[in-house]
Amino acid sequence: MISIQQPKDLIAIAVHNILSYRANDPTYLSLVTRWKRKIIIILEPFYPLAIIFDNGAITFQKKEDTGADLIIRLSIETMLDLAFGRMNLLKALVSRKLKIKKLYKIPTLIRFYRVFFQTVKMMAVDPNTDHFTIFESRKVEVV
Amino acid sequence: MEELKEKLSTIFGKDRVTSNQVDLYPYSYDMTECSPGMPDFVVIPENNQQLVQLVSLANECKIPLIPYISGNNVGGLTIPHHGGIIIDFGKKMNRILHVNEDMMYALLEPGVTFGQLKKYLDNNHSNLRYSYPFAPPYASVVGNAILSGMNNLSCKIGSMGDSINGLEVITGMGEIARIGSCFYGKEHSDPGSWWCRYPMPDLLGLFVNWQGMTGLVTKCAVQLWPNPRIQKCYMVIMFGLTDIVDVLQEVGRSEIVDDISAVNTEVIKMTCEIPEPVKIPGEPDFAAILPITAKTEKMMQAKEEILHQVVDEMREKGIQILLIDFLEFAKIFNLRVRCYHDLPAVILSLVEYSGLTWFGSYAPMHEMKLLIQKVYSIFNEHGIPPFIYMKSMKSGHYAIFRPIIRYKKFKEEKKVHMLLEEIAETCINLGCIPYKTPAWMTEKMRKVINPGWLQLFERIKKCMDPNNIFNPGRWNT
Repeated sequence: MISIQQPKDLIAIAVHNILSYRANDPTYLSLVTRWKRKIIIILEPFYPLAIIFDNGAITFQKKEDTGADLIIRLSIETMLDLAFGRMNLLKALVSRKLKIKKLYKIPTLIRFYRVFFQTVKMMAVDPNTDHFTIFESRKVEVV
Repeated sequence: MEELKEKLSTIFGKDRVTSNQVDLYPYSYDMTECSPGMPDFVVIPENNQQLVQLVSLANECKIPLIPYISGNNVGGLTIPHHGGIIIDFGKKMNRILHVNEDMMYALLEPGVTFGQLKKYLDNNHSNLRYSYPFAPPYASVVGNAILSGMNNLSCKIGSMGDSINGLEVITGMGEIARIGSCFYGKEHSDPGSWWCRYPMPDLLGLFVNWQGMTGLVTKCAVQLWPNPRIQKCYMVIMFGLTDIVDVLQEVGRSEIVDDISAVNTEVIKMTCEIPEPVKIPGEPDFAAILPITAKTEKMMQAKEEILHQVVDEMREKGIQILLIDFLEFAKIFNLRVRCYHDLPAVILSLVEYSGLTWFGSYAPMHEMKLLIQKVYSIFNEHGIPPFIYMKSMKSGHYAIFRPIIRYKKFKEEKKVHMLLEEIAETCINLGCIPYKTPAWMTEKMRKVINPGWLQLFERIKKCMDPNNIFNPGRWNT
């Protein structure tokens, strides 16, 4: 089971929602439970949010700093375009709608893509629009 | 009292009358901080003849009558402060009597709920829709209409009081009167005759917004609207405390959206179960949802083009505004926020605390920026997370301004009342007119209302209800 920090700000609420969505998926759990990274996501025009993955315990920090393994910057419109299949990651990168610092950390990037962006795409195509039936069975400890 | 109970039992039947304390207790209070009051009886009517007899008995005994449907009004309107008889319309007088597809209206008994009407229309008349408020499915359609509620078509059609075609009422003299185009027919009206409020002298105004002080409403015809097949919903996110007012005005005037409902960021967090939310630097100030409907794809594209144009014009003025698809946003952000779209719905942020109260008002659009600034400060000074809900009404002719307070019932009444008093004072001074007013609020309003209005109001009340049996105490009568 993973644990995720109780969010207090809007971006953390969204990220918490995304990272909880596949909490019962063994493939997802295997990606998250043995992984220690700090990823900063800057969803423009909002503020930077650091997501700290610590072997299955996920916490948030509202700041940007140099200790990140990856820094991803995109607008909320681009995020929705990626989620709903109107744009793919490569196109977003080429058109500079998605900017990634430390792009050379390929394994980290690939894993974060599988943890985050693939999840967002799965959420977008899920026909269920009832929050409670989607999340009531998810095994997530909120700390 | 025993004699009165006997008489009531003769009218309604023994099973439909109670004076047991345990039965009366739930009717003695509501979710607000208004002080409780016990009724003497609760009766459950099934037809007009029973109510005519009740009015006659009440006049004879000079005993108050308080109409009650589901008790979800946020204003203490059904709390009996002088004892009396609660008339619970919700249990038996809750039928959808007629839906007229040609002239687009529904004829309802008072106990019909929003959930009931929506289900009925979806199953039987899917080409028609009603307009739904931020209220639970078990709240009353007629209660909302005769108290001029504001719903999710209000940017298009205005107040729900404007969408009433006709009423059937029982007056203080025990007469059954049909008001509106249904007034034809000596004994009975044709179900197809409830199509319009005008152009006869408008007697609807003697019952709408009177909080049950002038008679009992037993039927209400409400307008329905075409239900276009193409439906989308946009969301604007605003950085700038008062810039949301520009959206209420400019998008309202563009006449392309069905509704504009705005809440501050703290409310979005409350919806996601953060109980005592604080706005953090960098977060936006307000968000609003803009449902848009259209008959054809071309019409939708045209409306979207206008919307983008209006938003671009605001950006050129330096307003920081995001425009995104709300339903897509909800899927990724948190599906709980869909409650503001999938109406009628239980809005968690309104029901998760045991107490709820508000200063709900019709507000002049030109004062909205000042209202937001002042009320936001008042909330912060009292250490309570701001909860502000606003709407643009009838293409921006006026607005709804509603600061809301959630609190722990039976523990925080005093604190909440102080906050609400300060908000009321500020808002009334800026021209806001509260609806669903508890008596302490109307007392404040009376100090600034012109004497001519007050005299006319008192005369009409006295004429309609000489023995002051209908919900006495409301508006300090």
